[in-house]
Amino acid sequence: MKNKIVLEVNNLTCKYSAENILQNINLTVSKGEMVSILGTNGSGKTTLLKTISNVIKPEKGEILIQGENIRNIPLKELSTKTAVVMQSLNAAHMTVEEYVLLGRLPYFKKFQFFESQKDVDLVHKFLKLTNTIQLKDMLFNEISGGEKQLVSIARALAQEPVLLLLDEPTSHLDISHQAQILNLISLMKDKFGIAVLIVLHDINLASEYSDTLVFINKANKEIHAKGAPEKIITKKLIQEVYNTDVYIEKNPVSFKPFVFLSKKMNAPITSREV
Amino acid sequence: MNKNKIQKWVLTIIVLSITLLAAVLAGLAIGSTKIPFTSIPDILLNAQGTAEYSILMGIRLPRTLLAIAVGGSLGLAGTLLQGMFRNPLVEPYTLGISGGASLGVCLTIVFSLHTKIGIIAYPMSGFAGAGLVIFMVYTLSIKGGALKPNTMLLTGVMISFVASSLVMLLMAISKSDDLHNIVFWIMGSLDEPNLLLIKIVCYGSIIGLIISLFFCHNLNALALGDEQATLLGIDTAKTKKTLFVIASLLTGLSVSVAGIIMFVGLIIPHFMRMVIGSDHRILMISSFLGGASFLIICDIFARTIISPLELPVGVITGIIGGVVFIYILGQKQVRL
Repeated sequence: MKNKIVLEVNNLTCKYSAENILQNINLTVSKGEMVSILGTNGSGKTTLLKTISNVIKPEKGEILIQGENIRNIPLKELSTKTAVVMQSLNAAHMTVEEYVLLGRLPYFKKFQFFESQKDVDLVHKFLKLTNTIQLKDMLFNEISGGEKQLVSIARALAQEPVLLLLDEPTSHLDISHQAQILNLISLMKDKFGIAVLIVLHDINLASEYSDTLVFINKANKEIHAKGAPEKIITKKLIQEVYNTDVYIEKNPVSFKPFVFLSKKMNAPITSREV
Repeated sequence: MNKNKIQKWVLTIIVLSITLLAAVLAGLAIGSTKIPFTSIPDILLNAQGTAEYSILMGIRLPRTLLAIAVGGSLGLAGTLLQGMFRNPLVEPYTLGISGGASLGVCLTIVFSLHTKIGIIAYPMSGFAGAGLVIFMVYTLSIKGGALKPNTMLLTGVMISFVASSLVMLLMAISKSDDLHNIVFWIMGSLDEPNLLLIKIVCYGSIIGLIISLFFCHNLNALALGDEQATLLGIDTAKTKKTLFVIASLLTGLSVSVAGIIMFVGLIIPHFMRMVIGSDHRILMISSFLGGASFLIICDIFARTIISPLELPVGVITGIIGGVVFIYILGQKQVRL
């Protein structure tokens, strides 16, 4: 089992400005596993993702990818192992094809000027897989938000990573794009064995698609609960992490836990205070 | 690589090269003494000692070569800076780099450094002034570890004002000979009699282009932002530092020999990006060729509009550039 672990985070403490955002974080993501990070706004989910992707230096602890500390992996090599899809997606005056081709940069040799035929083939393969090949000649900044997310996933896949990190890829998207993106990610982990660590806000989407959930508690800055959705999603857990009363049932199709929110169960803050 | 893309790039380079060749021929032919296009090769090859040969070899050819080097350098410097800062309004002039270079050259004139260390003092002081400004703009624009584009642009404009004020101060306290030299040089002109300086700018511009091309992929990745570029394996800090030095070198050399020539670094990259896209592999080459042609054409206008008198070429580029700047500012894509 140990050799299947792609990402291992040990005793990690992350700092943002002068304050500790997260502490004592321990988690693993195995080959073909999808782990979702959940928690309230400002609980440090994105900070954790940025620390794991080497954008933010950790205060303490270690991050291992395929058993090797990321501090010891050269930047270029690291980007052949890890690919990240961030929340804000920019690409000045660049076509979709050019954007996805950037995912092949880590494989370019030192003085390589032109992309190889293999690079072009892979770009087209992932554009087809994400169902965005028809957009290839359009400007990235002119496609819709959902299409941008799909194209960004294609760019990340072009890096041929063993670990895919995604920061709220379904936020602000309609239900059709949410399903399209999460089905695609599921396909990636199942078909290519990619380990996926994803930040999500929607507990039900996380429950439906993830193998493991990690709830971060903003109050003590630590992991509050970790495990399979069926095992850890309880009314008590949601109350402790989100300070919100919910009703939990099983999804009649997948039998995964489904969280219901009712306005009758949660009075407005003002009336509670009154 | 995509065949259509290669065809488009090759076609772009051919069209820009033909445009440059036509501009060069026009630059050699047009002037107070008109020389027919068709007789230029014959004069250059077989008519040594004639008046036309002296005009071509002594005045127009050096001037045209300088226009190629300066226009190419400024177009390339603008492309590098706009790519690094992801802002189409950034160029050597708006960032204050030209101002810094001009202050360096003015100090050289006032303190007669060229009499002590030779003619090389001009490009050296231009490069030093440009480098100092870009370092200051970069350092002052970083807040909380992140580069703030609006702060950067405003800092650049302010430094440009400070540099202009210091140049005026130097003019106020300088001797009449130095004052004349500074005024003449500041107006921006491609009329440079010193062949060594022209050679230095030509070599500098070509070396700058070659080194920049090694960073074309890095600049493409930087279009996604610093974080994403890092995640694609790019050492963003090293890339930016190197490109800053190249942009300073290109601008410093140009300003030290030709004076302040505004907005070439703004107009050309913007126009080329609209035509060929933002892939820096072709954008750098296109901006270099386009900048060279543009400056030759502006220089022809500067020499002929009120002939036999001559307008500073910076006036022509400034008027065109100012209008383009306002146009870009009105576009949706510009976010400061």
